[in-house]
Amino acid sequence: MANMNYWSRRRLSRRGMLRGAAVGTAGVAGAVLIGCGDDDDGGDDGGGGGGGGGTAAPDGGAGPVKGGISSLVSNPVYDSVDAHTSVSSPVLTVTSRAQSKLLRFSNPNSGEVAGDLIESWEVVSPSEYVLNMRQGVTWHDAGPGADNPASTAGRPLTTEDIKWNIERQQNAVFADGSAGAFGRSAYWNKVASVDITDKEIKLTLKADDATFVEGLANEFNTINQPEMAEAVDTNFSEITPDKVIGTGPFILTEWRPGERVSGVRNPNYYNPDRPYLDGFVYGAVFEDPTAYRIGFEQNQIDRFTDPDPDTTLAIGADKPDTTNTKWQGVANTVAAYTNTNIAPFSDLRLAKAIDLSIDRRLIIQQLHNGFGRVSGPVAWLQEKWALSQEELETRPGYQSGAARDADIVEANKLWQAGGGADVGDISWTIAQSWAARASWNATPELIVGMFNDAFSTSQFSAKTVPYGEIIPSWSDGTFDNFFAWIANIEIPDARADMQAAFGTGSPSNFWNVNQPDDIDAPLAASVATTDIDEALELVTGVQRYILDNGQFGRHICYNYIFPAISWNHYHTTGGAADEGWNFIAASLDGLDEWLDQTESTFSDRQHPTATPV
Amino acid sequence: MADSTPLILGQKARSEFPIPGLALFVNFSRRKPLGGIAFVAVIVLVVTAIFAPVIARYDPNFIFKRDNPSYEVSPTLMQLAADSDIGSPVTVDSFETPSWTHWFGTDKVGHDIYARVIHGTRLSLIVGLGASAIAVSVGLLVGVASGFYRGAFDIISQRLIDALQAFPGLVLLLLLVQVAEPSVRNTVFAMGVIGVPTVTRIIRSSTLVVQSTDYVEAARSIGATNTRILWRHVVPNIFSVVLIAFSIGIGAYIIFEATISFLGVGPRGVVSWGKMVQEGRGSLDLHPWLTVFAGLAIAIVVISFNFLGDAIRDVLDPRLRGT
Amino acid sequence: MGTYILRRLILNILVLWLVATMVFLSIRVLPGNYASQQFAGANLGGVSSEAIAQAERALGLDKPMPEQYANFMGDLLTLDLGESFRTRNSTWSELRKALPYSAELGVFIILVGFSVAIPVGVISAVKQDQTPDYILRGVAISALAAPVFWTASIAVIFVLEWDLIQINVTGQPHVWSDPWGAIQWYMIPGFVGGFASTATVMRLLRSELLEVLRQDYIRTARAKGLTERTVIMRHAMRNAFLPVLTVMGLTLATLISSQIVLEQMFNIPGVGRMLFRSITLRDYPLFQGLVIVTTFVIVTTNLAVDVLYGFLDPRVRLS
Repeated sequence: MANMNYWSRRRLSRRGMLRGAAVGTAGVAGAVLIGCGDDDDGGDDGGGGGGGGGTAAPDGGAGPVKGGISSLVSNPVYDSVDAHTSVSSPVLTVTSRAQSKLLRFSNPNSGEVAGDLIESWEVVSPSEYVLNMRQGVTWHDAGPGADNPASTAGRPLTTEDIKWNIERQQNAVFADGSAGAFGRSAYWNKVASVDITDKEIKLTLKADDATFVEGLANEFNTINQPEMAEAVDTNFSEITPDKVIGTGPFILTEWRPGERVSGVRNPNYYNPDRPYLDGFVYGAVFEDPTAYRIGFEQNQIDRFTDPDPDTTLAIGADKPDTTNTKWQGVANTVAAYTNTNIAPFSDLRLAKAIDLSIDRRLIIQQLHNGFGRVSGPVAWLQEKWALSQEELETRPGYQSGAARDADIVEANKLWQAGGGADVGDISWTIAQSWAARASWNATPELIVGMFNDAFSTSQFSAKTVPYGEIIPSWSDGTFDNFFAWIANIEIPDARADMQAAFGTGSPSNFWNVNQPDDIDAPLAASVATTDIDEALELVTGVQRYILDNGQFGRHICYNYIFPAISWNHYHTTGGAADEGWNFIAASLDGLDEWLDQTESTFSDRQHPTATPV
Repeated sequence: MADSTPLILGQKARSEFPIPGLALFVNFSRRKPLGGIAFVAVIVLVVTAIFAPVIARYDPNFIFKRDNPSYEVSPTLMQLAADSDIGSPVTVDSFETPSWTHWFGTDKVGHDIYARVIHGTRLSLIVGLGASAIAVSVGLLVGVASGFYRGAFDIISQRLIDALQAFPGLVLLLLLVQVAEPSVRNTVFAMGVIGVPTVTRIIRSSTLVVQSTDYVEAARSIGATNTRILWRHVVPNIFSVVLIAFSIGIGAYIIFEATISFLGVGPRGVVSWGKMVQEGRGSLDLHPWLTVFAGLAIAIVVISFNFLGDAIRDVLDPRLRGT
Repeated sequence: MGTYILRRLILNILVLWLVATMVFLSIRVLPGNYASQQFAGANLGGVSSEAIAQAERALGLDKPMPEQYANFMGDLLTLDLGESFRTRNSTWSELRKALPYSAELGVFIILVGFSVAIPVGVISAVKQDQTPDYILRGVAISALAAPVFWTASIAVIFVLEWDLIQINVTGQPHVWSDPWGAIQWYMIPGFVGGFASTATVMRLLRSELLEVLRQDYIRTARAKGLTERTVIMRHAMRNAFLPVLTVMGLTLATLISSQIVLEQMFNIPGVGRMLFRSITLRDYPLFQGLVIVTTFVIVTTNLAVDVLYGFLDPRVRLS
C-alpha cells in the first residue's frame, strides 16, 4: 500500500495502548494512496516519514542514530519510473527515496512546508514567487542511474534543471514530441512564466493563488534530471533502476517489480545528518496476508500494515511488548456516487434522497470495525478546512440509530416525489478490487441492502466490475452509480480539491456541477485571498451549500483509519510526541526512518542486505 | 426382473419393504456401511439446504446491531483506536463469541455464523450437484457419440478433450469464471465445463468396451439398428459408469468453489463457505469461529459425498479404476 | 506400430495447436487488459483514457486481434514466448526462475503424499472392509475433504503462536543453498498439500491392488507358498503400480492447481503464483507462455504414455 498519513505515538504497553493518551486532533491528510483493493494485498509503503527535520525521538529514548538497513514490503506493479507520468503512489515510495522535490511538508496539520531543493522562498504577491535554490546540491554520482550514459553523474543541480521540470509538465509532451499523460499538468499550468538566474527561480502565476506553495510539496512533484528524463522518454513503463537518477537521500540500486527494490545511502546528500539508514530494502511482495504476517512475526519485515485492521490488531494483541502500533488515515475518501448526468439521478431530489439515506456511521462499523470518521465535502483529514464533526452530526445523513429515523422519512418523501418505484431498477457498481478483499466482501450486499431497507423497496442491485471497465465510463459521463473511492487527497489544502471536484468545466467534475455563483466564485475568492480566515469562511460556506443540495451526486461518506504495527527497533520520527502527525509521508520517506540497534527485537531480526552500488 | 438394475445385488426381495427404494438402501448399507452413513448424511444435507430458512434461526444477511450509549460525536483518534465503537450510536455485533443467541457466534459484519453456515449448504449442493450434472450430461452425449459412432467426430472431439484436459483445472476455472459476471449460474456452468473432459473419457471408454462385447456383436449380426443397440444395450450398461462419474466429482467441485471463493472470484450475492473462511482468517487467533465452522462445514459435506461416491463405485463396478 | 506412432504424433500436433489457440483466446476473453488492470485501485480521477491508451500502445494491445494471433503463432514456432508486460523480462527467464520453486514444493508434496498413500493404500486393500481399512480410508478421505487453504491457515497460526519453525518468506531459499531453511519454509505447504493429495493416490492404489489381488496369478503365488508379504510386494504392487504412475502424469496438472493457493500463502515465487498473477493482471505473454509450457508438457507426457501402452497392450493399438 502506499504511504499513509499517521499519528505517531509514544510506545505504550498493551494496556496503555488500549487506553492511549489523547494524541491530539487529527492532522491533515496528504498521502496519495493507492488502491487498498488490488492485488498488492497488504503491501506496504516505504515507511512513514517523520515530521520536521531532526527532532528528538518521540519516546524519549536515545534518539535517532545512523546505521542499519530497513526491511519493508513492496508492490507488484509500478506504472512508471517517473513520478510525473505515474498515477499510482507505489511509484512514489521508490522515487521519493532517490529524488527530491522543491519543498516538503514539515507540519501537515497546519500545511506548513519546509524547503527541500529550495532553501527559502518569498511570496512577493499571491501570484509571484521567488524560490532560492539550495546551493551545492549534486546529482547522484554512483549507482545504475549515474552509470547510465544518458545521465550526467555528479554534476551540480541548476536552476535550468528546475525550469525544465516545470515546463515539461506544463507542455505535457515527451522528448519525441508525442503527447503524454502528465498528472500534474493542470497544476503547473497555473504558472504563466518561469524566469531563472543562477540561484533563483521566479514564478509568475496566471492568477492569484494562495494554494500554490503547498502544491509544490506534492509528492508527485519530483525533480528529474532533464537529460535522463529525455532519454527515458516514452519508455517510462519499463521499470529498471538505471532510469532513475536524483538528488535524494538514497541511491536506487535495484528495482525489480514484484521482487525487490533496494537503495543505499547517498554519501553526497545535501543534509549530512540524513538519512539515518545505510540503505533500504523492499524485499518482498506479499500477495497474501498470511505470508505477510509470517514475514512480520518472524522478524523478517520491520512493519506490517493492512487496510483490514483485524490482523494487525491480532498481532498487536499477541506481541504487546515488542511492537508498537501507529494509526494511519487513508487519503482516499470513501463516498457513494450517483450519476446525476443521466436519469434517474438527474432529478436532484433522488440524489438528495440517496444522500440522506446513507447510514455512514454504520458502514464504518461494518466495513472498518468502526475505525473511521465521517467526512463532508472536505474530508476530515484536511482538518483545517473540513466541517467539524459536531456540525456534520447535525446534518441529515450523518447520523445513525434513532436520530436517523427523521432522515429516512425525509428521504422517502423526496424519493416518492422523484418517482419512487416508477424509477425502476437502480444498479450500484463496486470495484472488483474492493469487493475481493476479505473484510469488504459484503460491501455490495450491504450497500444495496441499506438502500432497499431505507426506501422499502427492492429496486437496488449491485454488481462488481474491474476498474479497467469503470475508468472510461467516468470520463464520458456514462458511469454507473458507484461506491468506494475514486480520488485521493494530495495536500492538506482543500481548496484546489474542491475546485477540481466542483468547478464548472473541471475535468474531474464528473457530475458537471455548474454553480458559478454559489461554488465557483467563492472558491476562486478563497484561492486568491491571503487572509486565511476569509478563505476558511468561504470554503465552509461552499460546503454547506453542497450539503444542502445532496452533495450534487458526490455523496461523501467517510475516511477510515487503520493501524500499522512495527517492531520496537523500527522508528520513524515525527514531531512532538503528543501531537497527532498525519501527513504526506512519502515526501519525507526515508529521511526520518531509523533503527534502534540496541533493542532486543533487533538482534532477532533477519537483516536484509541492500544491493550495493 | 428386467427393469431392476442388473448390477446391484439385492438380497432381499423388494416386496418386503413398503417404501420404494428402501430395499436398495438397506442392502447397500449392509454391504457398505460407510456408504450407508454417507447416504444418510447427504440426505440430511439436502434437507438442510431445502429447509435452510427454517433451520437457520435467522436470516443469513440480517445484521445484528445494538445501541451504543457511549457514543461520542467527535472522538479523538486515539479514543477511536482504543474503542472503535464510540464513533456510532449504533454498532454491530461484530465477532461475538458463540452463545445461546448465536450458536456459532457472529462474523465481522454482524451476521449470525450458524445461519450462514446452514444457508451455505445451498450453494455447495447447487454447485456440486449442478456442475456434476452438467459434466455428466455433456460427457454422456459426447462420450457415447464418440465411442459409438467413431469416425471424424470421435477424432476431433477427442483432440478437443485432450486440449481441454491439458489445462490445469483451477487455471481454466479461474479464466471461465471471470469471463462473465460472477453469478451462481455462471460458476456452475464453468465448473461443469471443467469436468466434461474426464467424464467424456470415462464414458467413451465404457462405450467402447460395451461395443466390443459378444452381446452387442450378436445383436448386430441379427440386424439390430444402431439406435436399438444404443438404447437397449449401450446405455443400460454404462448407467453404472454414469452414476459413478456423477457421484465421484461432487466433492471436488465443492472444493473448487470454496477455492475460487477464497481467491476472491467466486459467485457473489450468496453465502459461500469458502468466502467465509477467507473473511475469518485474518484474525484467526482472535476470532476463530468463522473460519473454523465454515471450514468444518466444507469438510463434512465433501467427506459425505466422497464416501458415498466411493461406496457406489465399489458396489456397482469394482472393475472400474482410477478415474 | 510405426503407423500407430505416426498417427498419434500427427494428432498430437493438432492438439498442441488447439491448446495454443485456446490459450490465446481464453485470456483475451476476460474483460479488461493489462493497460487498465495495472491501474486497478489507482486514483480514478488521475487515470485518464489517454493514459490507458498510451499504455496499450506501448504494449502492442492496440493491434487488431488477427494480427496479434499471427504474431503469437509466429513467435511460438520460433519458441519465442515474449516478455511479461509487467516485468519486461522474457517469459522463459521468468519460467526459469519460478520452476525450481514449484519443483521443490511439488517434490515435497509428492514425497509426503506417496509416503503416506502407499502404506495406507496397501493396508486398506489387504484388509479390505475390515476396521483398519475403514479407519485409514476415513482419515485419508477426511484429509482430502478439508480445503488446503483452511488447513494451512490454521497450521500457520499454530506455528506462529508457538514459534515452532522459521518460515523464510522473504529469503526464499532454495534447497541447495539453504537446505534446512528451505525445508522449514516448505514444511507447512508441503505437508498440507501432501495430505490433500494422499487420498487420491491412496484410493487409486487401493482399487488397483484389490483388482490385482483377485487375479489368478496371485492365487498361484499364494498356492506356491510365498509369504503374503512377498505376494503383495513382489507381484501385486508391480502390476498395481503402473496405473498409479500414469496418473502421476495427470497429477502434474492438478499439482499446479493446488499449488496456486499454497504458493500465495507462503510467498513461494513459483509457477502457480505467477500464473494467478498473470491472470489477474491480464499479462498476456506471461500467461500464454506459462500455460503453453505446462500444457505442452502434459500433452507430450500423455502421448508418451499412450505410445508406451501401445507397446505393452496390443488391444489399445488396434482399437
